[in-house]
Amino acid sequence: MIGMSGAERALFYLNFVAELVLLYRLLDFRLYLTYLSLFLYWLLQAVPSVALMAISLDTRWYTYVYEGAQTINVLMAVFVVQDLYRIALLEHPAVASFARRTVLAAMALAAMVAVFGIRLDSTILAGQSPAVHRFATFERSMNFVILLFLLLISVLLLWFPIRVRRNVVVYISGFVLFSASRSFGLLLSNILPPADTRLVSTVLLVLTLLSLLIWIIGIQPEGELVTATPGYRRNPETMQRLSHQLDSINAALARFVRH
Amino acid sequence: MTLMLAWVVTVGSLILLLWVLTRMILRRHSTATLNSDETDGFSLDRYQPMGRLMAEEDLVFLKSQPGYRAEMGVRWKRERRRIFRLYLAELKADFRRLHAEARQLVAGSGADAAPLVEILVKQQLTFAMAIRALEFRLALQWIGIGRVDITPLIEMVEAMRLDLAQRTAVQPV
Repeated sequence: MIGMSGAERALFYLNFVAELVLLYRLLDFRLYLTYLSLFLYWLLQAVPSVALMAISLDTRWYTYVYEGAQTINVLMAVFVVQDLYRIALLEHPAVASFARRTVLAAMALAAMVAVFGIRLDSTILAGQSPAVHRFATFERSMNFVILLFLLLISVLLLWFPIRVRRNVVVYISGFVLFSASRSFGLLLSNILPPADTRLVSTVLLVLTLLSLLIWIIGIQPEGELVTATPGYRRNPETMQRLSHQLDSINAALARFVRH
Repeated sequence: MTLMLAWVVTVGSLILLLWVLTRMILRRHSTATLNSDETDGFSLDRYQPMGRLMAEEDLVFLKSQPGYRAEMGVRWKRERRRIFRLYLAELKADFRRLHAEARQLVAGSGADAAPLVEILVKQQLTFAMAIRALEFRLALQWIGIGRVDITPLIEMVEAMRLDLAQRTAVQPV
């Protein structure tokens, strides 16, 4: 913790407290099993935070613990978004089946875009540690993949539109903010001079705290209520009417071409 | 150059996704208020004049009239394109409404309706591409190149109709 500015230190402690509050609320509301990925993600963030509190910022140990914890968290985040996808489509088996088949393609698409971005901070500025720099590139790229994937999920949910539990919306919103802040914050810390690193770090801590507050305030037991949408099996007349109307559009177009 | 490309791809992909999401959220209201009355109001008769719009017979007749001047033909073509675009906009709106209703119904269906999701996704993409192609042809026709062909749209809607009809026919209530 030595080497941090006063504001950074305060925010670091606030984030730690917020992580504990979120974990407690998930346990208290008995939502930790429903949102197991979120629970495990922040549990794995909170444990290394305790270790980081005891280590000086300028030591190798701090870097090792930080990078080790972040690697686990980034891999965990991949699991989080996949789990989110599953939770969001739980009540929509038809779409979920399609989603399971396309999840890898969506991930691959997001990864391809992220690979393009590796070039953005390939130059290591004077005074920057190459190891820390490279790790930040890895972490921000992974976060960018997660961000794109979350946005793709949101597009799919809105396109149908699929009515999801309010807690799922809160879960997605918090992760969009979190992964966007990590992705672009770490990019800035790599491309800006080392003198600005502390400022970027402070802003990142503020945004992480904001994400935690979104989950703490937003995830509620009432947010688990599901709004059902009727399926065509239960509504065959509507589906037949729809087919008839689409047929009519086709007939109109066919007549246009004949003329 | 590669650095510029990296910025364009990174920021561009993010802006594109956010733009798509914003558009969807803004349009959500119309989808949310979609009801049977709205789609029941769909009428085939609305598109009847489209068939005559792009036909050349009227222009030939106009040219054969005494007192015909070239600017009359130009104005007639301009008006014809404008009206055609109005009909096309209505057709697109109808497709969007009907497709939205199909998506809404499929979203609430069981796992056996999964192939229908794929079909709906493909149809949406194909329809969007067919519309772009048609608009491009309209632009070309404006400068006197080629003529408008809406066959891809017809094939798309026909495929959609057949798929939906098949699915609804084989699934018992």
